[in-house]
Amino acid sequence: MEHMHDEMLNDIMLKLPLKTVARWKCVCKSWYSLLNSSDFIIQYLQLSNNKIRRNINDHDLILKFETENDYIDMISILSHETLGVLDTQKLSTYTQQKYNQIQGCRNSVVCITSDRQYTLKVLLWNPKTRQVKVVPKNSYCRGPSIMPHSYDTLFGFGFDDKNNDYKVVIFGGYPSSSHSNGFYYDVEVYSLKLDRWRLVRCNFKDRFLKVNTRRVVSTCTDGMCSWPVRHQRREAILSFDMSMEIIILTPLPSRKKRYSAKELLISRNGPAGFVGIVDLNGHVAFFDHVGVNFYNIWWLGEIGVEDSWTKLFIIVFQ
Amino acid sequence: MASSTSGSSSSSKVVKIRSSDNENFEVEEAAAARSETIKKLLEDVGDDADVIPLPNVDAKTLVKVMEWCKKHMDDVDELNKEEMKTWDAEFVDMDQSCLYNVLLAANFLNIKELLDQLTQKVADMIKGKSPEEIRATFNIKNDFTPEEEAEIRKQNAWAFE
Repeated sequence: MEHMHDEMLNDIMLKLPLKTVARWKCVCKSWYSLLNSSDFIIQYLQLSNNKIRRNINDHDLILKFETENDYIDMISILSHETLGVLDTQKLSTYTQQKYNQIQGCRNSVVCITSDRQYTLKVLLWNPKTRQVKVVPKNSYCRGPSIMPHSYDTLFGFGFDDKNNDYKVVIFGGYPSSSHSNGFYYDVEVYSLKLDRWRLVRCNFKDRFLKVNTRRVVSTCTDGMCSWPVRHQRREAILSFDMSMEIIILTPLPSRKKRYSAKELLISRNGPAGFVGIVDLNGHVAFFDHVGVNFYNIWWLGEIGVEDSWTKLFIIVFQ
Repeated sequence: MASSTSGSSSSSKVVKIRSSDNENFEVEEAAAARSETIKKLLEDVGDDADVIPLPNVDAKTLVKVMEWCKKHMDDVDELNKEEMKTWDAEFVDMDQSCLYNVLLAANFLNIKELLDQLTQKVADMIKGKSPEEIRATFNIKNDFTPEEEAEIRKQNAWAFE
């Protein structure tokens, strides 16, 4: 194996897990520069992108919009290759309500919520087969009807690949007189396999958590559901492990790490900071607004490990 | 895509290839043309081709590569995809030196899909190794100073847990 040429070595490296790539940067100088080169990183991304597309099968994009005159919620499915519309359906046919939101999509199953007059309806919908599963309410758990009473509620949908189960997650902070800081957190988990909600006590007592619940959509990667939050005055990612059912917090890189001196200077004059999180090839990534037309994209190697953030790209809009 | 080898009528046509150790093989053209290198050579020489010499590939390796090409000669329909997957998995399951030779041959003969399967196999074989084990496997000299290496390990500490 010792006489492997560079081109082949490159091809092999592209197929390694991210953790292995990070571990092998210290093998020697030439490997270090290969594995850190933007050429390699871009190829690596494209390859993992293809892999995911193969698994997810055809439909990549789901677009929700309202009709112009009567504000009826519609949903369109766009081809990931051509961006052409493949199918358009009326959402209210399924939810019988307005105010619908798409909460996430996993293996062609779309999670839709609609809340109206303090009741939250949760549906799992397969646009291809047009099958609908209405998620039941549960009298033991507060179930999906707690929304108006909670302070900080986050909603998530994902796939637990260890148990082959789709799960809907509600992470909520609730006021309490019996807790010293007047606050406690719970996670309610619906399992499609069991077809019921369960309460998971997450022992997350920190009152320094701030959640912006407006239009926060979870990102589901690798069996984890993640949301952007603020924790102890720092931006962070809050993740729920779908199979272990535990909460993990990953702080974003510090401002010092995120911005160069120049970027800090630019950001004083323009809008700057965290924009949102996305699922990028099975990893949590976030967009960082660093100047009027500049965005950085950071990629999280492993959830819970702050040091595994890597700056991937700089996007410039002209 | 237009090519001189497409279409079912040409699948019965046979071409001759010669290994580095001077053994001749007769292979169906559609199978041999899985190799971009051979396909290109065939297009260049047209029907005048006598024997195509492959100076970088020995007979033992060539047999193995052509076995793959023959299996992958035709487009696979949905039904046979699973069967093909199993066959491919068994095909790449060979000893290290053989794997390395076939990898080199696939690279020289420019058979993208085979190369893809083989590099994946190698990646799966080595992905668990530590940097020390990798240096030993590829006979690489560590040219970092201990301080430099410690710094890189620190930066990527999450990967060592």
